[in-house]
Amino acid sequence: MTQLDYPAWLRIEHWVNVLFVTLLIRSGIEILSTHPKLYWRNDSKPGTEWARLTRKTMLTDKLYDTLDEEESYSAILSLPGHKMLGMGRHWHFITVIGWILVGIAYYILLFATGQWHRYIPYSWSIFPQAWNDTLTYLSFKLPAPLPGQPLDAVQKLTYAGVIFILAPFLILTGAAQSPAVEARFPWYVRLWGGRQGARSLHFLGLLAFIAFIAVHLMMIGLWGWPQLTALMIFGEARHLGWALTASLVIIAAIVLVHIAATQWSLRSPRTVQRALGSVLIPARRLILRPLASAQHYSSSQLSAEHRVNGKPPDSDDYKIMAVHNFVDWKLEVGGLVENPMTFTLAELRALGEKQTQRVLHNCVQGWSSIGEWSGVPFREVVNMVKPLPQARHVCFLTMQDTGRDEPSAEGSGQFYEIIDLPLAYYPQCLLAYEMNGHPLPIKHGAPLRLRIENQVGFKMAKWIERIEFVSTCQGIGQGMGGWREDNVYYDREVEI
Amino acid sequence: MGAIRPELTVLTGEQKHRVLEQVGRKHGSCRACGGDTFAVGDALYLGFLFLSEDSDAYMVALSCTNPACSAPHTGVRLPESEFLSPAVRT
Ligand SMILES: [Zn+2]
Repeated sequence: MTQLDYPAWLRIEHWVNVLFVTLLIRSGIEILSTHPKLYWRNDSKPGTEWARLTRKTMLTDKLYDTLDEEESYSAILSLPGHKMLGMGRHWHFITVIGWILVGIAYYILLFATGQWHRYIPYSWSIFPQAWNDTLTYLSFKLPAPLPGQPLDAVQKLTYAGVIFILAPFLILTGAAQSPAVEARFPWYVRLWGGRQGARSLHFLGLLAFIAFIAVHLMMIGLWGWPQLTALMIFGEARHLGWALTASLVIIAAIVLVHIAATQWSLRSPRTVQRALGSVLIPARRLILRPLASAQHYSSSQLSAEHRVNGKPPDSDDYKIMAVHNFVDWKLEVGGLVENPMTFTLAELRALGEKQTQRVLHNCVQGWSSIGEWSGVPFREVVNMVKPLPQARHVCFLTMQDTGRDEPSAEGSGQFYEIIDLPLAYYPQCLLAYEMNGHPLPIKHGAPLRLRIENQVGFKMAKWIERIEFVSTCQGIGQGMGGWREDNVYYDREVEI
Repeated sequence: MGAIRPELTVLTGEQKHRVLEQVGRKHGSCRACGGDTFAVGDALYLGFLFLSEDSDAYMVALSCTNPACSAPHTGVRLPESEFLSPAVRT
């Protein structure tokens, strides 16, 4: 049998893993803080949360949205704290790419070198043995390791559980929260009890990981910090004084990385967005972009009350247009097209056959609802206006003035979002003028909103008044791809 | 065109009459042509959906009756008590 020692790759992976897991925990808490409520059902209905990590209460005499419910956590707890969901998402996703790659390398090396013997049990008798070991720990004594192995039975089972169950569980429940994955494989999100089931399980997985880390540290203290860190640094229990020092230096370096990531995100979020985005954008285009929506929820699954994010245009022009049922509203479609056009609502309704889709809506903040949307497939409008060859993106300009209408969000000015032109041809990319069989409600974007079912909600512009085909995002706002990308540093390509 | 918008309230003849009384009292005139005769349409409750609005505010649809008007659709903002609730008539 392989000697179960501490080869260099195992030691390196251990410390890299400490860095990645702690980055994932802090950035994950940042993402949680933006909607600090956990549910089991897809509708995320207010009041049905099984856990609340906020003391905020909402007044119900005015329309409130989920931006109002957002929490600002301390930077000690979350990366980077201070309500910076965009930054938290960048760090979470860049780290998870690194974590998965390191994890794959770890699995391969574990099995290629025979080191798997340290974790994988040989017989059922390990369970009663682990129970006996637990009783030994509870009587403040240390049990004996398994014969010829570095770990006792309860340790072996715990590491096996973390490495082969908990870590994959966190990745799988994370993937189940990607709108692209949910849209392409609705059965997969059902497997976890739905979108909110996946989110709640992901959170419980986080708690399990934190509990593991706490017990792990306690055990190292019990068994002897210098001896065990020597094994994990030098590969054998020697130079105990140096091992203690080196372990503290490594931990200090990891803390420094956290401080640097936090400070960089708080002081210069635009450079974080550009640097991490240069990896994340191509990765998502490659892996998640091909996933087109194939969702057909049943009418009985529709949420009685679909949540909202964003408030309607608070202008007299809009209100007068609304009270006349939007007969004076016009949609202008122009920019880099052969044939610029203007549509009234009646003209849009008369365009081709009405398409209806019942789909799961994913907010970037983590809540979800199921709605039925009807309208004209966007590709039909695209085919009528005929984009010029240089058109690469589509900008949706809305009647919302964020400074006036959305005091809970940073930033101001007209709201716009930009999508890549290929998304316009996706099967469920829809210009929706109806919801649940009725004219699109004002709070959901009347008279017209976008639906792209493999993206998170903020991309689906509401209260649209103009659609412009462009060759580049540069020159539109800060040039990052949309109002939220420009103003609150969200990531582009939001298939997750 | 399609079903009635869920947020709109259809007014009765008497409620429409009260709206016109209020428009007359406020000397309301058309933004486009200056005309002062209107047909009353539906009402939209503003208090819940719009941040800046008082909790009893409505927008009532008015259509200018001048056939030459270039933009006949307009509206008047009224509190509930002035046209909708069966409040005391003054
Ligand atoms: Zn007029």
